[in-house]
Amino acid sequence: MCPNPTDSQWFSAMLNLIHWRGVMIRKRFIWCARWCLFLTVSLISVALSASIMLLSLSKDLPDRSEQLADLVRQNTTMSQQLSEMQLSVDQRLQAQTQQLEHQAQISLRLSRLQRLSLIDAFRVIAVTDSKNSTVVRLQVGDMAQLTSQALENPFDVRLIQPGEYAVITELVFSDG
Amino acid sequence: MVNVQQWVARHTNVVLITWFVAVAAVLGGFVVKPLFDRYVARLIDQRQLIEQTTRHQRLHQRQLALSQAIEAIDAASHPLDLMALVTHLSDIGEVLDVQVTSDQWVVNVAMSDQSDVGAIYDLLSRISGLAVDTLTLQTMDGEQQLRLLLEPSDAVWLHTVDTPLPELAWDDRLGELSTCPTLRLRAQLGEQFQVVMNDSDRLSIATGDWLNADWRFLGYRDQQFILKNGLGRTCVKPSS
Repeated sequence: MCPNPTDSQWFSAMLNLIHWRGVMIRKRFIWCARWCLFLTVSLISVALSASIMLLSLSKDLPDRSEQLADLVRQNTTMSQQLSEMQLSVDQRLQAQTQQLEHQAQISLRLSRLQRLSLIDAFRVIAVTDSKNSTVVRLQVGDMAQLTSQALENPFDVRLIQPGEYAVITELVFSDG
Repeated sequence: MVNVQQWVARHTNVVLITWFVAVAAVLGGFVVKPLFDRYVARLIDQRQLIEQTTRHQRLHQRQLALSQAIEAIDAASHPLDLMALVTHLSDIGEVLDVQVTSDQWVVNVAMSDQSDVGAIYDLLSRISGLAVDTLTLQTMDGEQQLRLLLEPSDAVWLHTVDTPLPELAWDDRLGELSTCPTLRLRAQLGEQFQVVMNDSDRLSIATGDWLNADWRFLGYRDQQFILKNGLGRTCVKPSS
């Protein structure tokens, strides 16, 4: 059954309802504003507590940024110095290695000359010692002295010049 | 105003949540975050400080080790220039001249018969950065002339070596055999002969005696001296 708008009782009831609705809206608005204020205060409290805690923690850690920057600078300089020193050591070690190789080469060249010592009697007139071979000009009593050593000490005979009291010969020693 | 109140009343939850987020963001962004960043930066600094201090100690130890290594190496080797090489060669013989080209050092050294050729090899073996192209030794009239063709690199070093090269076994056999000496008999007493050698030296010799470094007296027969050289060849010369 529908209400009749011309009914005064119904009209009075509707007016009361509109008034009640306005009151409820205002109360709700005030309630919301209070909650906003409460949230703001709460958040400020939390932020303040966190700030105090962070300040306190920060205070426990002294500011050492300058010391750190200085240390980083020192370490950078020291690293550069160490690189130069390492390079210097490498050069020196390389020189030592070269010396050992060089000593081995000289030793090899000297060993060519040492082969002469197996000949019984001889006199050395000249020596030309180059990288690959050694040419020795020497005097021997006779060539038979050389042939007796030929198998153990291979060499090339480049010159035979017989003389009255000695034979002059040139021998070529090589590493092969 | 009534409309606003109505809207707030309708969307209370949205308003509260939005307000909470906004206030939290503002406070977090402008108050808490800068302090937090500062604290984190301090922590990072502390951590880096520990790392850098450790690194500094490590670098310092490395520096000490390298210094000691350089000292040890320098004690056993030092740079060598041409003048220093000449000084070392002067200990072995007389340096006659030195020629320097862009890629070669040529050194001529006069050596007496007492000089040790093996010492040259020993000296050269102790040098690094200096290739020996050619070593020429010429003996003449009891003297030896040495010519060294050396090829230096950028860095030439002289090293102290614990194991030197073996000595040259025939160092005493340098030089050409002298000619058969001329002898003149002055007197003979049994096996003893008084002779004049090369018209200058008076000698008293017996069979088997060495007249000089090269020749040995073997006997005197039919007014002829029989001599034998160190190479085993015989020379028969009449008394002059």
